[in-house]
Order: sequence, then structure tokens, then C-alpha cells
Amino acid sequence: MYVEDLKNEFYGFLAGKRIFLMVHYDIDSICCCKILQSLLRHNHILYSLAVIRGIEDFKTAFRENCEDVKYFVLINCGGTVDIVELLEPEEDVIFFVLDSHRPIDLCNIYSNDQIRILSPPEEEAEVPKFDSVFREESDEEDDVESTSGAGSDDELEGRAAKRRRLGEEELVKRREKRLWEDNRSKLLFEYSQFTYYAKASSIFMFELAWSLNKDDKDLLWLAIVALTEQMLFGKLEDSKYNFEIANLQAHATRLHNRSNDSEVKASLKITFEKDLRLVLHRQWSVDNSLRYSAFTACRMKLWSLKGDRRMQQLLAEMGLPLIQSKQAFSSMDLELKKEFHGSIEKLSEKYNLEDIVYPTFILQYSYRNNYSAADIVYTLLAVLETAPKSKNLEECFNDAMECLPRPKKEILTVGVGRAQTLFKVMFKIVQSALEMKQIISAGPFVYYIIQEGFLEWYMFSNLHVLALLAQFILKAYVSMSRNRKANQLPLIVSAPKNIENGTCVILGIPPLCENSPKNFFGKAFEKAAETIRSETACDFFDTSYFEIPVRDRVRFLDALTVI
Amino acid sequence: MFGEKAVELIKELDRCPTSLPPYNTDLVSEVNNEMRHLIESNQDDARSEEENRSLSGESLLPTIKCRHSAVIRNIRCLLAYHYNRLRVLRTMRWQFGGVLPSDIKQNLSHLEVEWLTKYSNSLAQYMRSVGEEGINLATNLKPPKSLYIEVRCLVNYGKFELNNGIVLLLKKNSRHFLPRSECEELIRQGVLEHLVS
Amino acid sequence: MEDDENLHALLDTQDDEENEIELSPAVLIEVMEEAWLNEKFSPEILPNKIDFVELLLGQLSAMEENLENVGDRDIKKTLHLLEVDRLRFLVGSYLRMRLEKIEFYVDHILKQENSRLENREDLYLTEAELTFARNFKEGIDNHFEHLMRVHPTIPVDWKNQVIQPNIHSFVFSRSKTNIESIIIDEGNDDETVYVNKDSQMIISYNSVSNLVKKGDVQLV
Repeated sequence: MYVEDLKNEFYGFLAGKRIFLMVHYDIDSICCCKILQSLLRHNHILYSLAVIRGIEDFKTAFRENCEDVKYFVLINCGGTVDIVELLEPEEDVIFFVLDSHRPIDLCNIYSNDQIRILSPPEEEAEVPKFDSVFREESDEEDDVESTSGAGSDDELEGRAAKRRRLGEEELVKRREKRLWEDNRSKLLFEYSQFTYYAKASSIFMFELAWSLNKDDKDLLWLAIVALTEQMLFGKLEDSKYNFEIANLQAHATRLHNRSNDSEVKASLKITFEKDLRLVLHRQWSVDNSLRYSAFTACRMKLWSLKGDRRMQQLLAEMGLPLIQSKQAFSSMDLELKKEFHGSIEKLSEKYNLEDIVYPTFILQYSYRNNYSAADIVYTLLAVLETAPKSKNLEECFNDAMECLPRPKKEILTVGVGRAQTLFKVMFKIVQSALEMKQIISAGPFVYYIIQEGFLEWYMFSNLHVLALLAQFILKAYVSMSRNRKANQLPLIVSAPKNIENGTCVILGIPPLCENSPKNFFGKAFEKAAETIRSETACDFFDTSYFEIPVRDRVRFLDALTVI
Repeated sequence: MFGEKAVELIKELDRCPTSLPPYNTDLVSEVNNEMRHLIESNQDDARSEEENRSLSGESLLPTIKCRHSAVIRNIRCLLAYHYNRLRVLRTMRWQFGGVLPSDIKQNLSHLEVEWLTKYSNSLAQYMRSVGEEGINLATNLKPPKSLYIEVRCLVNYGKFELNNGIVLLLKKNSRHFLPRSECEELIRQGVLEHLVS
Repeated sequence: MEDDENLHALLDTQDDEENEIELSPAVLIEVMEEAWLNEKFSPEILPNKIDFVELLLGQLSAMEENLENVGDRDIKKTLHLLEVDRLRFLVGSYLRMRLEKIEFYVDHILKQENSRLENREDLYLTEAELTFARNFKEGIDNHFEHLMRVHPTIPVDWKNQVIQPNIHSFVFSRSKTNIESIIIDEGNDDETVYVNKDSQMIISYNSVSNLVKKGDVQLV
């Protein structure tokens, strides 16, 4: 069921209780968790916290703690699976779910009391067509489900009530029932065919903090980082991004006006600005940042000799000496530094770099450091997902937690370094994939496989890094392809996951022309795996990822082409 | 040079100001031997000086004086070595409570163990005497900032019960938000780490 | 401030029940805080305030009992609990500092206490502290006695080495009343100063030690 009044039914409800937080291993979850922690601290609510990487972790954490705790708060995990069926909890255990993964499992939505979903159903204004289907379908779906007797135990009560109501309606609608049943499977399929993301959980949590009058700039920054993460990893449409960023800007102005000048020195300053789509350019050199950003690389085809020349030309026209461009940005001449943004914007049209600027936020902290939200996201990504194997995930999680909301110098420096390596490696992969023609067209889609033993391959077994690479590859492919329909092709990438077990992770991303992050691969993957009878053990909450044994990969891709 | 070994003892202690290096039995006994040797030869020389006083010529007095000051210096160093070890030990007693970690216990001489037991006893006796039911001075070491703190668990500790009956599982790398007074001791033992946000 | 009053109200009710304490809780806390500051900044050990400590501890446990009955969600409860925690720290820290001084200057302090005993003056240490000091000295002496059995004729001057507090160290202080004259002994030239109420100064501790003990000067 949906919780409508978060203030009383969630925050107020938890007062004086002991709760357990399950936090998914990603940036939005960490931000959201930080906001929630600060709220819990205010009210002296005792909690314990565990990191959840996948469904296995989810089960383990529940098993270990279900005896002692009755209230679980799930952040970005659990929404897409039938929690009651998966965990078999006692009746008095209550789950609060704030999950940006979609679609949310229908059993969770129609659970009477045990599962409480904190995010409201998607606004219809945004995606009316899909939503109207969803609304209509939800009623019908439930009814049909109750008569057909399928579903989980926890729904018995609710179903009984529904059945009574249904009594009168049933006579009238009996004839339509068969139609419904046909309709049901169709609607079910329509409901679950796309994997996508809803509004970042951190923003919900920030809005809760706001309604409790406990928001501050630190919390706002967390919400900003989470939103930026969704944008950078292609989890939401541009229109939604612009909508949310305007929303957050209003908050920023409000919070800025509220703070008095005396505390300015010690506090954060968040400014709304236009920034360039150049990765980490404040922490790198202009040359590197231009070259290794997916945006400029794809627009100017920097992997080719010609592209390289174009870049030099651009630098020359900007009046930026080569020596300066290879210099760390922070130590460039002040004049050039000031002019940099303006001059690149001016030339953007000529060099096919339209919309190189995008609205975002810059964080000023302790006079010295300026970070754009994107810088922080990339750095956190590097902290979380590109750490050497020797460092276990909990340590990475701790590092990331410490880095938010106020950046911690040591961790950040390491993170920035790793992020730079990551972008270099990605660029090289794209370059060699194009040169060696390794991006293979399989008819309805194209695919690319990262071989084992490839330099730094271990990074790409992590979800978000892989997603970033996939987007880069697809854009690069489309920009180079002679096929006019190239932008209508989705991409599948695969990287080794677990060398010992011989499994690989597979990710599908929608074609560029869709301009929507809704991902239909989840269902397709399931079907393909069914067809070839491969043993899959999917541990991901995001169903556009899939894990199969390497030996089945070729057959799997074959099966996909037929679907 | 006389006294060098004794200085070595001091240096050894100085090198690790926060922890306790193993009790250096060998070096201490070497210093003791040196002193014994010095004292004995001083006694011999003093005797011969006594006998030869009538004879003019070289006096042994400067040698004796020199040796004597070497002995005094050695004594000072030994005292400093042992006294400072006791100070460290005392600090640790406050830090870890009655039971020392075994790795530190190995580093003590048996005299030090005796001393520590006695110290603990008199401390406990004192604490019992204050107030009606005594006061545990080993808690509330730092001024409290808030009632609750965020901690991270560093080891697989197992279940832990709070005063109000709440049970929680302290698993490595899990995080918790707990009453400060109840986890203070676990923090000092290194089971939990206080996270300052 | 309001919370403070509430706190004191809580303490007050306790007073009425016992009805034997003349001191109001606010004053008690104030006295304790002053004692704590003085002890913290004075180089030597000061006359004990154990009566106040015992009183305060008694009130704290009573307060905690009272708080047990207050509802869990009352915001006041957490504030009061925090205040109790703070006061407990105050007391604990006060007693700890005294113990530390006793340990450090054990010979010196015991000697002073003995002379006070002979002159029938009030002792600075409490009985328990005295026992602790004696035990501590015994422990230390034993320890070194064992260590120094190197040679029968080893020089024994070391026994006379006593660590003394540096009473000439400078302290920050604030006078609580008008003080006619403070003697600043600079060599032979005894100079005196007149100090207004509430004025603050940096001064050599031995010039004000008596005033501190009397309570006319507060170390800060």
C-alpha cells in the first residue's frame, strides 16, 4: 500500500521504535540514507544499517536481523520483488519501501499493511498514456487476481474485502470476465515490460525533511547529487531532469536566504549554474577533459585522427595555448580560466557541440574547493565501483558515506584519480571497439563484449560503470555508423562478472532515438534465458541487467534476436 | 661508555609513546650488571685508595667519582623507564577497564602485573566508596555531546543487548545509531568506531 | 533557559522529599562547576568538595528515577537525560582529575597531608582518597624497591626524588569579590594589587592559591 502522509505515517510512526535500514549499493541510496539518518538523529530513533548489493544480500540481512527488529526501511531495494514471498516475514514485521526502481511489484502495492511504499505512484501528467493504463489496470488486475486465486498469503484479508465489494459487480461483469483475463495478462505484460527509474529516492526524502522543517543545505546537496546521478547514468528523461532541477533550485534559493551571513564561512554554498558536459574538468586539464568526455568524444569523433585535429583547431580558435590546455585546470592562467566556459560555448555551434552546457549546481565548500554535482557523482562512482579487488565493498561504501555531503579531501583525491583512469580506459575501449569493428550488429540490436583479461576489465563488472560505457559505445557507434537506422538500434554489452563461476553480466540499453530511459530488455532477457534453458541467477534489482554463464552467451544472444 | 644501555631503554620507550613495548628484561639486567660492576670496582678502588692514602701520586678519586655519577645516571634512567611504563599502564587501565588485552599483557614484567593488580584494586575500592552505590569513573570520559551516536562495527561481535532489552546484531561493517553511554566501552575496546558526521 | 528551570524544578521536588538539604540544586550545580574548574586549572590539589559530590550524585540518581516515569516521546526527557549525562561527566571528571593529581604528586601530597594532620588542620583529601593515595604510594615504592635490589650498597638518593606541582605556574583567574590586596612576590619587592569584583587576570598561581581555596577567586 502507499503511504500518503509521510510525516505522520512514516516519520511519526517510527518515533521510539527501533528500525533497520537496508541501503542499496548506489549513489542515490547513499544520499537518501544520509538524509534519513539526519532525520532519525533529530528524533533519537535507534537504527541499524546494512548495505544491500543484490537480492542475496537482501535475504541475508533480513534473516540475520528479523528476530530483533520489527521495522525495516528499504532504500532502493525490494520494491521490484515480492517481498512477502521472498522473505516470508512474521506478520508483525513491517517494511517501508522507498525504491526508485520500477516497476514496483504489484503484490507490494496491494499488500494491506505489511509493505508500505513511501513514494506515491507516478504522476499522470508526466507519462499519461502509461499511467492511465497502470491506473486502470491496477484495479482490474487485483480483482482478477483475487478471483483466480493466485497471489500471496498476506493479501488474503484485503482480498476478502475486495471480494465482498466484488460480489455485486461480479454479476454485472461476469461476461466481461473472460475478456479481463485476456486483458490481464496483456496488462501485466505491459506493466512489467519496461524497466525504468522513478524520481530519485533522495528527492522524496529531502521533501520529507522539508515538510518537517528539518532541511538544510547539506541535505539539499545530497538531493542534488542523487538527481545528477540519475541524469548522468541515463536514468531519467531530460524533461524530468529540467523539472526537478528547477524544483531544487527553488529550494536552494530559499535555503540560501534563510542562512545568515555569520555561518557562511563554515557552511556550504550551493549555486545554480550552467556547466559544461566535460568530465571532471575542474580537476583535470582541458585537453584530457575534452578528449575523454563521452559528449565531446562522440560529437567530434575524437578517436580518429581527423577528430583529433578538430580538437586542436577548437583549442586554437579559443585562443588556448597547447601548454595551457595540458596544464591542470586549476593552475591555468586566470584569464583563460575565466574565459574558458564562455569561449567554448561560443564555438559550440561550429564544432557540433550544441547543448554542451546544461544546468546544474556547483558546491563551494571551505573557500578552496569548487565541485560541480557531476564531478561528485563521477568521483563517488569511482569510489564505489572501480576500487581494486582487494578493497571490499563495505569499505568503498564507508568511503562514499564519509564523502557526503561535505567532500572529504583524501577520499576525493583518490576518487578523482580513479575516475580519470576510468574515463581513459573507456575511451580506449570505445576507440579499439570502433577500429576493430567489435560492435557487432545482430539484426534487431547491436552488441559488444568485453573480453576477459582486458585491461581493467574488473571495473566493468560493476553495474553503473558498465551502464556508462554502454551509453558511450552506443553514441559512438551511432555517430560512426553509415546505417541510417543506427539510432533505432538498442545495444547490449556484456562483461565478465565472476571469473571462477564463469558468469558474465549482460546489460541492455534502449536505442538513442527513444529519448526515454525505459528499458524493455528485462522481459526479453528472461524470455531468452527460458528459451535456451540457461541457468541464471539474477541478483539485480534493476532487471535490465542479467547474469548468465559465459558458455551460454552466444546462444543467449541468438535467442534474443528471435524475440 | 657507561650509561649508554640505560639511555637505550629510555629511547625505546620514547619511540612508541602510546603503546607499551615488551618489557626489556635483557637490557635491564645488563644495566643492572653494569651498575653492579661499577659499584664493586668502586668499592675495590675505595679500599685501595684507603690503603694507599699515605702514598702520594695518582689518586683514584676522580675515577671513583666518575663511576659513581655513572651509577646515579643509570639509576635515574632505570627509574624513568619503569616509572613511565607504569604511567602508560595506568592510562591503559583507564582505557580498557580491569582486563587488559592479552597482547599487552604479554609485554609486562611480573612486577608490573603485580603493581597493576594492586592499582586496580585500590582504584576499585575508591570508586566503591564514592556516593551511595559507588561511581564508575571509567565511563563518561569525554564530555557528552549527544545522547546517541552513530557507530560502525569493526568486527563480527555477535548479539549485543542494550539496557532497555533491545537486542542487536553487531556484524562487521554494519552501522548503528545507539545510546552513547552504552557503546562507550565497546568503542574503547575497538569493537565499534564512532562516526562523526 | 526554560529547560534549565525545568531541570531545577525536577531537582527541587527531590529536595522537598528529603527536606534536609539546604542547598538549592542550582547552587549545588554551580558550586560543583566551580570546583571542577578550579581543580582543572590549579596545579596542586585543592581541598575536597566530597559533600557536594555526594549530594549531587544522590540527586542525579533520584532524577533518573523520576525520568523513568516520563513518556518516551517527550522531548523534555531527552534534554533532561542529556543534562544528567553532562552532570555525571562533571562529577566523574572532577574525581578523575583529583586521582590523577594524587597519583602524580603522591609523595608530596601525602607529606602535606601528614603535616596538616599534625597541625590539626582540615585535610584536603577525603578518607577514601587518602587510602587510595597510601595504597598507590605503597605500590610504587614496592615496585621500585624490588627493582633497585641490584646491589646491597646501591646509593639510595633516588628515594628522595619527589615530583612537586609547579605552584608558580600562571593561571587565568577571575575574582568573585573585591579583594583588598593580592601579594605578587617578585623577588624581594613585595607588591600588592587591588582587584575589583569580576575582573580577570593572569597571575602566578601561588599568589592566589589561598583565595582560590577560600572561594574568592575562580580559575577559568
